[in-house]
Amino acid sequence: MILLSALLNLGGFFALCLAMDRHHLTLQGRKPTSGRRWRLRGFGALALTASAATAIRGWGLTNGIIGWIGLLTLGAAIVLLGLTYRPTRAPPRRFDL
Amino acid sequence: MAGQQGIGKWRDGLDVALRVAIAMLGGYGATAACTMLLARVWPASRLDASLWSTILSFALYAGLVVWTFAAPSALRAGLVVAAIGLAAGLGAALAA
Amino acid sequence: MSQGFRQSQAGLHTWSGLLVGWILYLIFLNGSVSYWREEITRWAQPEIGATQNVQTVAHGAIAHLTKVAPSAKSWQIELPSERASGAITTYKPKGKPVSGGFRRPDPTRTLIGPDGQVATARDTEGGDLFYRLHFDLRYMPVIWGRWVVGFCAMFMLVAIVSGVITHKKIFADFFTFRPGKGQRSWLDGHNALAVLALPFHAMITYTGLVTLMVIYVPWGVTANYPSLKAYYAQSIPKTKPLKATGQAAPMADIGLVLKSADEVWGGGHAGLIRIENPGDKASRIVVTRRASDKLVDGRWEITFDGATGAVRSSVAPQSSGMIARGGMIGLHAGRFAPLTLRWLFFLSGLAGTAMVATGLVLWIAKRRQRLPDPARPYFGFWLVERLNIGAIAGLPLAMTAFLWANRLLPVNLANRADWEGHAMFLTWGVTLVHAFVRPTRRAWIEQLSATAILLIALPIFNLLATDRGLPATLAAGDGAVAGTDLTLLALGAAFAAIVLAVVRHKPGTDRRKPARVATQPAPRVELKPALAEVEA
Repeated sequence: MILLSALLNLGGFFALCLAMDRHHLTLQGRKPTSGRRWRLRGFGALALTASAATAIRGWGLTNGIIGWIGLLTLGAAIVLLGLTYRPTRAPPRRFDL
Repeated sequence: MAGQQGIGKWRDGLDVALRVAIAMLGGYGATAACTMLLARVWPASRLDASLWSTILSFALYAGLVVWTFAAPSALRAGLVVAAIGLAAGLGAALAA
Repeated sequence: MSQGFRQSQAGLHTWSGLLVGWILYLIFLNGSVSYWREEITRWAQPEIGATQNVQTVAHGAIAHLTKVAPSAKSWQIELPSERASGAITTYKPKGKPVSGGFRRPDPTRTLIGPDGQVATARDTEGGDLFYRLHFDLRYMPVIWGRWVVGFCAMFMLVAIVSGVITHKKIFADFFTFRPGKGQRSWLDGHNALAVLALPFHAMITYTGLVTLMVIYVPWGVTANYPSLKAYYAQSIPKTKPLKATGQAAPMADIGLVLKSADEVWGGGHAGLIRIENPGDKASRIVVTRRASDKLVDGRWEITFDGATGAVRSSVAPQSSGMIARGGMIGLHAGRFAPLTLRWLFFLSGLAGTAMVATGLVLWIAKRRQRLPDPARPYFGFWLVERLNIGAIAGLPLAMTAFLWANRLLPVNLANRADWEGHAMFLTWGVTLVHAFVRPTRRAWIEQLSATAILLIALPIFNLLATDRGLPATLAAGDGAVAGTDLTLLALGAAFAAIVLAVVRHKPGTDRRKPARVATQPAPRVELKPALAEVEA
């Protein structure tokens, strides 16, 4: 149940990320159409809500809400890192600071 | 930051120093007065009133600090903080 | 939001963060590690294994106390939890108590092992050292430490609020991290660490202040109570001590008492047992609930008649204020959190630690390119850059040194626990001096490498020199100790990765957008001396 919550979280943030012009451009090579943007945002919001519901199911009410917020951080962080360090056909990005 | 015309209101070191003093000292004093007032007018047992007013005091203090640095001038910041502190202090004394 | 408002908060954010940044780093790092306080204590006392049966330990504790203090005024037994092992017994003898003083342990303190027998384990503070450090500091009266920490926490709260106000593109930049771009990357990193875990940072800072709120803002209490003592009398009710009759009566079986408590609480667990006038006809057993049972930090207590074991009374937090405050303390301490949730707290805490660290480094990165002569920075820059090294790299090294001292100091050393602490702070002193005398880049690499090596070497030492190496603890299913060893390995690897990144890092090659006015390529030549100096 918690794993499901985490995965829904991840999916939700990935959708919300794609819904953003600059990231859609990076990942798909073009800006999203208005329709697509709203579909992605809708899906993202739905996934995050489902993630909250499953977290509460798995952990109980208080722990579930607290845990969901923690999973939000984790999900967003994974999407950010995945986006930044995604494997590309270009030469690998140097681990430079 | 400092020295840029038009944006930011920190024209000189004195302005900054004043705001720091007003925020840290004046802000704490005003927070203390507001907390006392809130503790006395909060509609619950005196234990709950004391607890809730203290719990909220940090949010108030942070707000006063933010305001002090956003205020159009150090003078204005000082006047507002002082006014809040005095009004709250008076209210707290009356509500005793 | 007006440009001026946002701008005004930028400077406030920078200075409220910078001035207390190093102490905040200490607080965040030690606080985060404290989520594993009990596990670290278990790791630090390899003589004691995991507790399998609380009843065994409880009976053993009673047996021990009956033997050594049959006519004491009161007994106290701190029971093990899912994470801590063994029980700690203390007692108050009749007449004037022998006071230990703060940080001098109670002389009557005895450790009962998982088998119910008195255990001898090395004298150590274990995880409690990090825990206390993050709000009491050390080597000073506790109240001073709490004032310093509270002051810094208030600065942190202001930094959070002003940071959010001043962050123009908080949504647009939510998933943005651009590595390899110098100052831009540090800012991106600082923003990401701050925004992605923002609920945690705001919560932990505010609840931290609330935990000691009556010290910091006593006015709400003094407004309604004639004295702090009167307030404590109402908020922490103390029952009047029971007068002993002098008539002996056998004590009720503690196992049955614990079962009773379990039932009254609907499946709760006992954390603390206090017995007044043990063995007397008029005796009382007060059982306090385990903190990890509930989110709200508060007193759930059941009082039993000591001779018959019958339930006399039961208390629980009632007032909304006590519950609100207790809930906030509970959120901060995270004692309620089961394992996965605890990991989320820990990772968020580490994110907060890294947020503070990247903020401190960002201050330097931003100003480095504006230095007229990088070989001779102005005093403020020089001071901040050196303190950054000593704090950000030095403190983890010092904390690792504490763990090594736990392993290496002779078990019979007098004041052993104190010396483990001294080892940490002596190491930190050395790293601070090192940070000021070595060339900056060397200093970073040397301190971070030392930390990486020492962290990874610890589980290896456990494997080779103790009987609680990873294979043994994993086979025994001892999650606390095995988990600690594995986490030390992971942290060591993380530090090694950071060392690699630092080795490849070339500060000053900030690939900024070319200026609109065409400039000569001359700047490139000027950068070389700066690079050469830094790469010394």
